[in-house]
Amino acid sequence: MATSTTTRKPPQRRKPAAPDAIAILKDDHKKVDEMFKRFDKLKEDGDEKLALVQKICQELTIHTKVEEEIFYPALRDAIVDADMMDEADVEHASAKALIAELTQMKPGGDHYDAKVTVLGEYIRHHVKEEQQEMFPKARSAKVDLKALGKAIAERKQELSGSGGTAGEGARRAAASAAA
Amino acid sequence: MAARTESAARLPLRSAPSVAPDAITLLKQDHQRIDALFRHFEQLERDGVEKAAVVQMICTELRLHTQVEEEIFYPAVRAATGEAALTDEADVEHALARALVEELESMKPGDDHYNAMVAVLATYERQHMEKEHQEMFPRACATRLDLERLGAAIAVRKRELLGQSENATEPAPRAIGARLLS
Repeated sequence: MATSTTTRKPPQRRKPAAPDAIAILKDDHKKVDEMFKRFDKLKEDGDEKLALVQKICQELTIHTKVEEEIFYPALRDAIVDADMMDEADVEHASAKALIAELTQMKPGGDHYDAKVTVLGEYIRHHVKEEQQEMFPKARSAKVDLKALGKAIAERKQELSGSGGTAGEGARRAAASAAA
Repeated sequence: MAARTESAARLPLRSAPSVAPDAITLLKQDHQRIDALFRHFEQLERDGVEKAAVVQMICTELRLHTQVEEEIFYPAVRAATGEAALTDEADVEHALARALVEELESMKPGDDHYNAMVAVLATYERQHMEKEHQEMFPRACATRLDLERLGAAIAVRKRELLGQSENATEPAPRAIGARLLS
């Protein structure tokens, strides 16, 4: 059981590998899930709730967009299971309807909390299906997940940079305020 | 309770009033029927009249069921529990289901995303029913809510709505569906 540690080379510094498409999407899922958990703990209808829900809506809007523009079409080309992809589209449409309503509202508005809660439940269900069914199928199909990951990362950057002029102004103001 | 059983027992069987189901029994019966229709749909492979009929029945059942819940059951639960969160969430879930029902009613089997819409509607409905069974119904039972009177009101309203929808819409798909399912 004795190992010769002396011959072992020092670990080489490697450039961290760019995350593949699935890693990026899973990371988004985690981020959104954490925000929904934070929402569940917020009691007061105030600025904090408003900012959090706006952030959830923004994250989800970008996430669904890159999936629909880049990830889903690539999977459709490679995977036979069109039904699964169709269902993902329908689930996105329901989520988008709720997001559109929420972005017009503020905390304390009629059914505001309920809409966020239901959105959270639907998203969790959708995420579970993606992670348990769609992603494994994508891995076993001949999809270039690295190239897709790169495209997704670029598109995400583009979308979060041009998220509306008001959003951009607010972000800049927040950034300079935080600095 | 004992007195009622006694007097009922004294009555001749044929004129004994059938015990009207309470609200929760009625709503659970609806859930069972809707779930059975979804299961029927899931077994259908071809896009044809049978699929159209089953989906039409699902849509009709869901319209009726959500409407009586919103008009009668939820307001009563909200008042009795003094809590809005559960019924508010149920309202939101109904609204999303209704959007899918409306889209499906303007489509036919074979159309783009038709099967997916039914599948997602089934998933959402099952989740919604599960929440009612696990959370809302037990809470309603724990209050002083008169579930028998609510049940009677729901039954009357459903009959009313059913009459309206049968007069207003083309009855053919429903009739076909009923034949297939009987």
